[in-house]
Amino acid sequence: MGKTKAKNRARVTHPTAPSAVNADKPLERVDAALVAGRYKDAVAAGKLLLKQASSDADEAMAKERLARAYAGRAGQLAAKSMFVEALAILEQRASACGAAPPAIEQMLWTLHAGRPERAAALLREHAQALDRSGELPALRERLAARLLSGDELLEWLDPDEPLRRDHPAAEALLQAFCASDDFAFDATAKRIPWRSPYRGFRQLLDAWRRHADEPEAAVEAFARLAPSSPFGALAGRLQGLLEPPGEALPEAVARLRALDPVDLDAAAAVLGWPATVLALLRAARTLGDAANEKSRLRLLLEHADAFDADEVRDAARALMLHAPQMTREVFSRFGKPSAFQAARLEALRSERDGDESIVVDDAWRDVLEALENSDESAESPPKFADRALTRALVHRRLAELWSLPPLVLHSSAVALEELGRSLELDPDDVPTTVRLISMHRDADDLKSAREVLDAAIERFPDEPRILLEAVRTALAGGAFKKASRLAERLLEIDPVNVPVKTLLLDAALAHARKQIRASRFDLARRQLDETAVQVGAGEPRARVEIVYGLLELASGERGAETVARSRLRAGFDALGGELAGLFAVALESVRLGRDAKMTLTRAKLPSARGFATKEAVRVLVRALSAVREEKSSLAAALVPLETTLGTVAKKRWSHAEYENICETLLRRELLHVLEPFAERASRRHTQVPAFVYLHEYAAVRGAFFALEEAAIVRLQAASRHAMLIEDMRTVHRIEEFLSPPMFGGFDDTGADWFDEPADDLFVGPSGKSSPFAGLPSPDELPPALLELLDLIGVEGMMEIERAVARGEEPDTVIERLLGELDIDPETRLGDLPKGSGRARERGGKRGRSGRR
Amino acid sequence: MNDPWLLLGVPRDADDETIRRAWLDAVRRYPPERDPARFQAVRAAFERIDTRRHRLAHVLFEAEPPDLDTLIALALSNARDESERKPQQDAQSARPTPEVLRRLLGESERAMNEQPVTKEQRTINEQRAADKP
Repeated sequence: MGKTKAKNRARVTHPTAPSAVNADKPLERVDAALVAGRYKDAVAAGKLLLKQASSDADEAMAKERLARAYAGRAGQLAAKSMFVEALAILEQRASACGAAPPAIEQMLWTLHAGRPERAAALLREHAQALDRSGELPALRERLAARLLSGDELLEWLDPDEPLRRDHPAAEALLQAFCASDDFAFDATAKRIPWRSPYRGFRQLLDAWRRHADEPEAAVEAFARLAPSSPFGALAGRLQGLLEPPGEALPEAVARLRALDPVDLDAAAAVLGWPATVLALLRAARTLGDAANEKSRLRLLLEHADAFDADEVRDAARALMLHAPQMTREVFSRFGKPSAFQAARLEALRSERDGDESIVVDDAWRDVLEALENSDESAESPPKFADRALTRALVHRRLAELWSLPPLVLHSSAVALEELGRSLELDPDDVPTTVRLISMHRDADDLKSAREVLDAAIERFPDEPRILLEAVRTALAGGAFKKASRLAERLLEIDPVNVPVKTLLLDAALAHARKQIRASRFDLARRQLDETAVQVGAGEPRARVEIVYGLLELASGERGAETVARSRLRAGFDALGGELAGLFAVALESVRLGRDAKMTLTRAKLPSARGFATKEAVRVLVRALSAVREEKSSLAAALVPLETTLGTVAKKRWSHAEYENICETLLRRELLHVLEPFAERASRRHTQVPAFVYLHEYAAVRGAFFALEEAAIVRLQAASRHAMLIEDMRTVHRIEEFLSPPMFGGFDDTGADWFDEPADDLFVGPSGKSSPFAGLPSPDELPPALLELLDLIGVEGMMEIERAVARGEEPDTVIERLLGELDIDPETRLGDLPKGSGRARERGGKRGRSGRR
Repeated sequence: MNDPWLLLGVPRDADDETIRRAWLDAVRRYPPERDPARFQAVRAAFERIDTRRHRLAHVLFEAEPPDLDTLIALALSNARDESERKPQQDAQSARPTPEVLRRLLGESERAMNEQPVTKEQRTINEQRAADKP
């Protein structure tokens, strides 16, 4: 093994070495070794060659080869700083070959070997010869660098030697440069003559000091120094170490991380970093990019002095969330966080760990409570000094939490409430205002949407985003003319607003539909004619044609059916035909309250069966993804296509294609259409847990209580699999599906309070073989349970769950909670006045959440 | 690097205008057609801290731990700030101490011993360097 390694090393070091050399031919061996730079071998072969020399010519030739081999070997040793050994080789060379030592190397190596007096003597001895050969200036430059680095040679030099004569000026120049004393620098520089061995040094420092202000000129000046001189070599090195002026931090970090340890040290010295920063950089270099959070946190704690005190504390806390085992160390180093910070960190941890929504909700509410009570200025800098905005943001976070699909049970009501509170605290936030309006509208609460909208328009009269919401809300309420007026106003402010142009078309078409439904066909025709002129060609025109066609179909006038078919066909073709074209016609028909299947038959458009291709489905899915429509309308429009879609679902689709189709159908809540695709996907791609979830979810139309036991087992297995492959979205989805917030987790150990329903409160539909069989449907909760929720809120429910976990009886806990609300536990809940909302009236923490 | 302030090179207490100017500078430095990845990174950074509301939200909710580049950048930024606080010096024009300069000179001169001694070997090495792709 060792031999193999050695062979490999030799091959790498000397790639040009011949693979085989004839051992019987020393001349060939020595030449090959010399070319390959294997001087040790060359010396051995050269000695053999000299030994075998049979004539003077052969001997001279052997000595010449051996002398080169010795010189090369000496150079190799000197490169490793083995100067004494290198000098010894030169002596052997002289005795074996009669070759005089190379003067420059001998002198420099003698100096490096710690014998300055001998080096000075050699300089005196060889000065004239070197001067004649033109090598003296280069040697003096190297010696100048040695002297400036603090070598003791100086005192051994002759007084008239330029190296000694100009040394005081060069030393003063060095001091002036390091002290940033430009005046002294300029004055001293003049004392260094043109032919001085320190001239290169002067040029180097002059370029260096100009680097900050004139980087390009400095680089040119650096380049003028000969790279073969020590000053030129240092100039080349400096160009990699100095920070280009204005260098951004990301570039600086990338540059520094590319430096080797020696240059890193040099850069630190050149740039004047504190030792703490250099220590951090060295440690980071050792750690490498693969460092996990724990390693990074340890690095941070060990090198905390290199950072700003507040920044290192915040960074340590951020890392601590991902390395909880080091919490104690962080607290001990930076102190315990304030109540507010502790609550914030706990909420972030809860989110990161994928806790149930109700737990995350609790954590963020603790943040709000802590914010009320804590003095955040105790931590510097007081980033959260703006408490109103901080609270508004936390409420917004809560709204986001309850808007995450697939949460059930009034989650949108909580989100609406939280967004409302957020806006009370931060009324200038346009995106939140827009979101609140659209959420009210999506919840069919146009009254609330208009209330928020009116206030918003008053606050932001010319804000396009608010005006756009006004258009949408007007359309949702059927106020088509108002929507058109608002859209026109918006286009005056923002002429290139594409969404409003679409909305304007929607408004016009909606108005035409209204006229068609009221059998005012002339008015509808007028509206459509005007719209057709405005929209030009393309998809908008195709939509107009389809509505026009449906108008003619509905009018029943003489010859209208032919015109209708012609217009519908034109619209169908313009939208690409096939399934997407049929869907567009069917959807318009549904919007007019007509049966989609009947309309397609009357229009004599091609049958969907003829488009049972994957490409047709791809286009249809894109259309479904783009259209904004109620799921009931979408479902009705898809009825004529369902058989075909079921057929195409059985074709061979890739993982990505199935994923795209299934996710689109899930988003549009078309679970009956999703089911065949998800079922096929889960069978074909058995290793994808997401498809198991989609199939089971679609099969029961999202109703967890309808799941059979076998399905739950499959989902639990899929969840574990998803966890293994780090598909956290599927893990989260399955968890939320199987354990909606108020019902706890499916993997809870021990009995939950609802496992043994108390009296008639928890009696639900029976007949399913499911752990949830005794529970009511989320949409059909018994009135008594809803009232209990109304009274004690979700917090109260959670309290019951916690108390049961502690071993208390559910009945006892309920009685206690009702007692706190001054309600006679003997009173049947059904007898209570509806919507009493006692918990809310109480205004305490428990009632704060309201009913979810 | 995942810290938006460091990515844009602005201090923690920078206001909207300072951040906007830094963003425009960054766009000039990394135009999307030349460096799309960096452009995306600085744009994302700008969108995270462009308003007081976004800045506070970032500080309040950001749970992504600092990566190694961010830690190094934090330390460098701190070193630059410290350097700027010193009189007559800033990070860009920092001068080494005489000891450091002497050390660098010594290292450069000593490194020259790695050059080959014989002229023939110098020629061979130059040829090898020229042949390198």
